[in-house]
Amino acid sequence: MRKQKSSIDKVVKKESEASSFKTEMFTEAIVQNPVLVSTIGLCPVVAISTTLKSAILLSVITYLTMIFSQVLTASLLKKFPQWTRVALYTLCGMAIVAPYMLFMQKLFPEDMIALGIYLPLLTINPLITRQCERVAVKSTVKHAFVNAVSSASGYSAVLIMTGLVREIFGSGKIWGYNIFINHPATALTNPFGGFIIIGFMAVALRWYFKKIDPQYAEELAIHSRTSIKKSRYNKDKTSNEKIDENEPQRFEPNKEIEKDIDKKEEKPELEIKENQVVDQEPEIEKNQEISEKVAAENKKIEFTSQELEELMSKSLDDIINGTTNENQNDVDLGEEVPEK
Amino acid sequence: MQEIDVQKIRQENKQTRDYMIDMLIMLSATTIMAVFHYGIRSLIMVATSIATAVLCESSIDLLRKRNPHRIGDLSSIFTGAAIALMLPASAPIWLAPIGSVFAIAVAKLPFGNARTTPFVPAAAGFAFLTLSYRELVFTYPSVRADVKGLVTGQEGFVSGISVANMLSQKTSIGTGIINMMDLFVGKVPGPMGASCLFVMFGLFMYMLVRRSSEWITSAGFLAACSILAVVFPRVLTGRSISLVMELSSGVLFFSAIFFISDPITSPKSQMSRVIYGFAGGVLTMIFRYFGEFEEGVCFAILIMNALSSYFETLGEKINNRLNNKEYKPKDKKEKKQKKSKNEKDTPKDERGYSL
Repeated sequence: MRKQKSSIDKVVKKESEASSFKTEMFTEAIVQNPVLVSTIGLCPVVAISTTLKSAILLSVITYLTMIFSQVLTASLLKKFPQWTRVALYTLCGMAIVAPYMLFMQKLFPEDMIALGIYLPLLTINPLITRQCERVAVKSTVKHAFVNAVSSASGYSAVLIMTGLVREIFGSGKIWGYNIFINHPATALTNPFGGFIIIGFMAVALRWYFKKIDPQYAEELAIHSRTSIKKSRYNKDKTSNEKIDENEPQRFEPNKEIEKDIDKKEEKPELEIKENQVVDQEPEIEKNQEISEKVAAENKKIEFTSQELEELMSKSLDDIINGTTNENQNDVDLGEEVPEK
Repeated sequence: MQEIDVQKIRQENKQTRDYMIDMLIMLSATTIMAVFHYGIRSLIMVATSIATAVLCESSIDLLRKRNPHRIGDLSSIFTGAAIALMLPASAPIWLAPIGSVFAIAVAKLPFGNARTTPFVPAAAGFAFLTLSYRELVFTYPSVRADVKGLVTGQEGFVSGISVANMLSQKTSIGTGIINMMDLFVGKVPGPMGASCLFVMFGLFMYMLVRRSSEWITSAGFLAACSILAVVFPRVLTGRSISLVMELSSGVLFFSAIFFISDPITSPKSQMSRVIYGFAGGVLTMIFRYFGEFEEGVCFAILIMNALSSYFETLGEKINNRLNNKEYKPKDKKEKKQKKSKNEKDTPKDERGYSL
């Protein structure tokens, strides 16, 4: 499988170098949000982010541990076998968490007591091992740093929002100061209140991508493991179908990129973007045009490059798989209606 | 595309509507007793909570751009009234609306409509209120002869010790209760709609006549509660008195009639319903004996709602064992086929791991 997909990877991964910090931030923090979409690392969010202060303390340490462990894996740990790497991630976390706890106990002694066992538990946060294994092992140091910052910011945004909502309605305070709520609902400070708030936030995010910005709905659905009819969101992009159906687009840099392809693809995207701002078109149309152009360029490259045979063989396979997949999806949707 | 049976949906809606009409007739009897004991203030509380429940449901429907015809189920009216009647009469007026908003916005509408909720929304709302406003929910006013009629403020009430509080402290009968007649009539401090035993027995008999299939669960529930009350009394004076006190205290009888017999959340065959109710009774008594709160009925009902499908299969197994048949689950082959299809469909990473 890996050998077959290598040529398309090269085409796709060209976009990763053109993609700036903003797009990485958008995909990692919002479209693939670790808590709201893929539900990773729920424990500290649900249990302990009851106030704004504790949420900020937790978010600072997630930033530190994520950046440290991912940069370290990208620089040093690439050649280790997998079973040792997973143990080393927790050691990296401990190396950050232990001095942080000693330092913060002098600044905020009461809040650190309130955090309790949940702060040292962040060393075995599954978010760290997941991001390291999926991204940092394969990528360069710079990309690992960007990815760590973006995913940690997505995690900490959810932490801070739940902490703020629970502090306002659960205990009637903001940062420890009283506001005009005489009878706060203290049930929200329990873990089930955290679950309810996270659920409503996830619904709001899903609604946004379904109704207002439908471009990323498919990717969000894939990362939240829901089976969804792909053609519903992908009717307009007829040209780009073959790449879209079979694999979720993850943009990862790869060392083995041919230089010929680089020169041809670098030019048009950024220039076109700048020119289109003058016309003041809505964003969706822009994205569609860009995707069409990229697809057109991809076709050119297919014919220019020497690997045409591989692409042909793959496309046949894709056509066979794609048709069967579509039929199965139709049947599944009919059956999955909940019965009471 | 799946086809929608309009006639089937209409029949189901009509079934819920008929059930809710019966429940509302039964609730009206308890509201009359509440007005008799605590004055017009109780009626105002019930009306505000009903109004907020209906407003909440219709506004959420309008936000989702749907026709708010589902209010015709009358289920939102039932939840609002039930939450208000479980509270003490001295509670502030904003307390019941908060419970009803939680019940509808969190426990009911995210799961669909009244036919598809896995939990009884009124029980969820009352559980939320007990967890968040513990002092307001469990301080009951004493019933006085001169209060009748036109007390609308919160000042006219004097706080008294409820029966559930006496039982939880494991003391013998307090000095307040001399007549057993007061317990039966409901002159004891307690929740305003649920403390009168005579009315509750009347409603129980009404249910036997009108809704015999739903009556079985509540009968099993009450049987379990009464057996445990007789066997393990929390009162020093005697077993029969402990039975009366356990049944009359708190929201036990009320929730036995209105919540655990809910045909939507409870299992469907008769045998499984009896077992379901019995297990629910045992759970509530465990919550009462060892729990943190005076009243743990709502938590027990929520747990039982979550386990109702398990009790359905258990009831079928017992039925088949009695009839000397082997238990065969119906959809085993279909489930296997579904699983295999899903495994194929899951998208995979470049390395071959499923996302």
